[in-house]
Amino acid sequence: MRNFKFAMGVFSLAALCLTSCLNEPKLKELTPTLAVPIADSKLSVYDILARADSNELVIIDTSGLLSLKYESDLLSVSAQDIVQLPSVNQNFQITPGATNVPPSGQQIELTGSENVNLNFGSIDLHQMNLKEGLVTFNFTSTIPNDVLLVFTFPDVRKNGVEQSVQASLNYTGSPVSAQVQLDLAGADFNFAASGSPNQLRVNYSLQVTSKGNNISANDGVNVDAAFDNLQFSKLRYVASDINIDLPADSVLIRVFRNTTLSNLEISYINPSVDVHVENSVSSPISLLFKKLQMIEVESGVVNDIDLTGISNPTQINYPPNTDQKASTDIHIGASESNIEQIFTPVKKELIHDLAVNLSTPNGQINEIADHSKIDVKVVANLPLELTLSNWVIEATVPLDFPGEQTVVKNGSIRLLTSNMFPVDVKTQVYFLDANRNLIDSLFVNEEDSQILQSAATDANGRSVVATDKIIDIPFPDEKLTRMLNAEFVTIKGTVATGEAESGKKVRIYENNYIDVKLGLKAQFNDILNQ
Amino acid sequence: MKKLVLLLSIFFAVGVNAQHNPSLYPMSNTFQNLYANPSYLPYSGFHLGLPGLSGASVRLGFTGFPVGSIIGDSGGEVDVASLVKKLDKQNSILFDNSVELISVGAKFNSLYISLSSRMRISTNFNMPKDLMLLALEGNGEQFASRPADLSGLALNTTVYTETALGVSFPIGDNLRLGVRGKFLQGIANVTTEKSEFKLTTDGESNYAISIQGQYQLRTSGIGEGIEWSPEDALNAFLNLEESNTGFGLDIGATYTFSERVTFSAAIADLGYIKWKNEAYSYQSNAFDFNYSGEDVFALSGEEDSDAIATKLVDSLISAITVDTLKEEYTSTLNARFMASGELKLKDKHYVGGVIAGEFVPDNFQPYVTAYYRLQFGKKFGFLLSNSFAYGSALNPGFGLTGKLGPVQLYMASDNFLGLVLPQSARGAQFTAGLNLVFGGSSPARDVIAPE
Repeated sequence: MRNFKFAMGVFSLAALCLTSCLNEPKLKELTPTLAVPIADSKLSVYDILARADSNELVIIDTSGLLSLKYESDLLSVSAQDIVQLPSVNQNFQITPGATNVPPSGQQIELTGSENVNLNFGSIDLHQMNLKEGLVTFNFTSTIPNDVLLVFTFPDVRKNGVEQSVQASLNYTGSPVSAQVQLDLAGADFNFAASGSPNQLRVNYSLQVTSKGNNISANDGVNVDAAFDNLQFSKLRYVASDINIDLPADSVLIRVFRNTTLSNLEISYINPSVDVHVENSVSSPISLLFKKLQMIEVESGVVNDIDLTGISNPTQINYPPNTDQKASTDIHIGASESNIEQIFTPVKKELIHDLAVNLSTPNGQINEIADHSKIDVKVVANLPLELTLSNWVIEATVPLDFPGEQTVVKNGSIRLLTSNMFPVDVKTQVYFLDANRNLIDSLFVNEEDSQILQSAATDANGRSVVATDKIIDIPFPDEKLTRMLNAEFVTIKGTVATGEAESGKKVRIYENNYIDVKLGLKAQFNDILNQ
Repeated sequence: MKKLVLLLSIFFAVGVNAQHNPSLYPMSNTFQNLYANPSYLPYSGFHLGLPGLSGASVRLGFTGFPVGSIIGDSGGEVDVASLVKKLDKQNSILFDNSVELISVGAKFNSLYISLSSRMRISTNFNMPKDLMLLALEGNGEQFASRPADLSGLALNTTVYTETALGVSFPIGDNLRLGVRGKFLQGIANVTTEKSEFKLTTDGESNYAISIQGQYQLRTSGIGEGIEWSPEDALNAFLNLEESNTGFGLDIGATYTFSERVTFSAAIADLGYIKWKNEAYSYQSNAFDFNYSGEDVFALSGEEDSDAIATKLVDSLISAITVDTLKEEYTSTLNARFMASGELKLKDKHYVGGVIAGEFVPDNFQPYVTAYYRLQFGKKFGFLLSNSFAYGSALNPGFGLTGKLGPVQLYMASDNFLGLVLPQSARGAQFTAGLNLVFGGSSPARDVIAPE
């Protein structure tokens, strides 16, 4: 029993001591640090230009060099604008000559031919294929006998069949009239067979049924031929001067449209105006530049593009027949004109006024079909080959942080860039108070503010090696507090092409890109004792 | 004396048992010692453990957090970050509980036959150190220069009943062997087959985050999609054809080296359960999720940070595909071993040591105990011990047994600090119970006749 009590006493004392030695614990502060990725983006030239203006057409040549191309609307001249067949009225006489007729009731046949000249204006037709048309013949006979008149046109065929008309002129004692029509839809006229353009051969046959009256030298048949509604499907012709004006128009140059240009120093290299012609008229055609100007829209200042370096008018290529097309490109660049001097960022519009002229030298026979046309497109071409400096983009926006924050103790932003553009970009962010007074800025060091450094370029200004840069921007406690208390922020960016100070031109290629990665590290205030 | 019995009875209002209590085992004369070493021979001729008086016992342990060693060193402040840094690479929270439904034992000459039934819960939640470091420190410092290894995050829990038939018998004069065959019926199980996770923050870039991993989880008795229904669990338990069954084995030996020296050793809970009822496997793909930030040029400008965060979470979820299969599987019990030696100093005074261990999934829990025991014949015993357990060298334990008529009361804890000052301990077990014992002779390990 004594030993038992002793044992219990030891046990109780031990428990009592341990209890009194141990206090309620207090927690030491814990400030975890969280690191998260924020952004991972790749920007290509297409992304940049699409954001600038999706209407700009980006063309890549075989080397990958980018050009901005601003196109006019398509200007078209149709075959019907070039050649319009007029209505033609032609009168001619058929006089068989003095002839003794047989006794009444008996018949004799008198034949002959005439060459009828049709007047189609300034066009000499050698061949005419019609899809529509009508010829009306009015006959008036003074032959004092019954006559059956048959006209045959050896040079007018439909599906290879010679065309003809006939009229009955029965003598009633005074001149007799009759009218017939010939539908010319699908008719092919071969004027060349007569040996002269526009000349139609007519073979006639007069079947005279005698009334016992001899035919005098003055007796005959008067013919009025009226050709109307002539719609050709194809013509072979010789034409002198056919002039057609194209609608005057303009091309809007959109790059730098919304930029303040006062401090911008930029020179375009090799801007040009290109005119592209697609021609399916088989005829020598020339294109005349009546006006080609660049205009500064804001001020209205106009500068003519000097065209003494090109032929004006310029001959346009034409196909051997109307089933084919020929194209012509006219380049008006620095070698041909003063365009490099007058095509500047302040010039925002290209004015053009053109005309086409068809004139066949030396009687050359040309061809035109109803589907033939001449299409003209004017393009202002701006290769992305330039020198640029001091392009400043600035914007001030309000800040709205929701009240005082007690969660974050300090932090830092990490910016990683890989730049394959030949462009330097410096950025600074200014934090302003309610009165727009400066209270802090993002970058302390000038060197850190250059967030993008131009890629290394070769002698031609082409990027060859991307430039990588890592910038850590710390936000210690005090700086973070000032930033969060700001009411406004001004973001200012300055863009320049690589080595702009030396005037080096750079070229933007399809493979240029910018890789941007952004990460955030933040240390939180004590999470255990908040 | 009567008052002492009354006071102690408050603690003994229910009968409880735990898996293994290093402070209980050296205590002589309790039937429950058979759970640790089936070769043990209780001194009573007949034992009855009453149903309905059994309660729930808890062993709660955590292999990390030496809180008690920090308090006082930093002026009363608990440096949580410093605590976490001292953790092992893998750390476990252990929870065990068992309820004795009924137990019967009887001595036949030198044979001892035992029959018992218990409901047992064994839970191990494994936490990798990097997971806790990540939660406390974030990924912006050390984890920006090395990956956070989150592999090993695992939950393993088994709820089952154990019905055991045991026999112990002598071989020669000095050696005694014992064996308990156990029929196991599983009620519910969660087993983590595979748990591999790694989170990498790229400190050389913009802190891009990548998460790789793969996991496989098996469950039984809790329905598909972790929808647990007690009714379904009970029905499955009662229906043997669909139930989860298994077998287990305990074997042990006791060797009386001399009048004063005794050795014993045992292996327990060698066994398995085959899970059939509502057995599911959830296998994920080997996912590799990477996030390096938003493509800001693809944003419409109308998204806010919540929308972006939601999109990020959705992306992570969609990167993980889980195949759910209804599939039987087998889980093993957490095997245990123990070995002990005891020296009788003089009459009633004993000293000894116990080396024990438990194999939990992906971990091993060792125990090394030294004790002093005072034995007053058959009626009263007292023990003081200290164990190395739960990763700590300070685990003072105690044990008490007392017999009043046929009622035997016992109480033991491997770390009484865990009972009175839980914030100072990493783990503790508590065992207490009430047995009815009849007949019998001297304590088997007390060669000298008791007083």
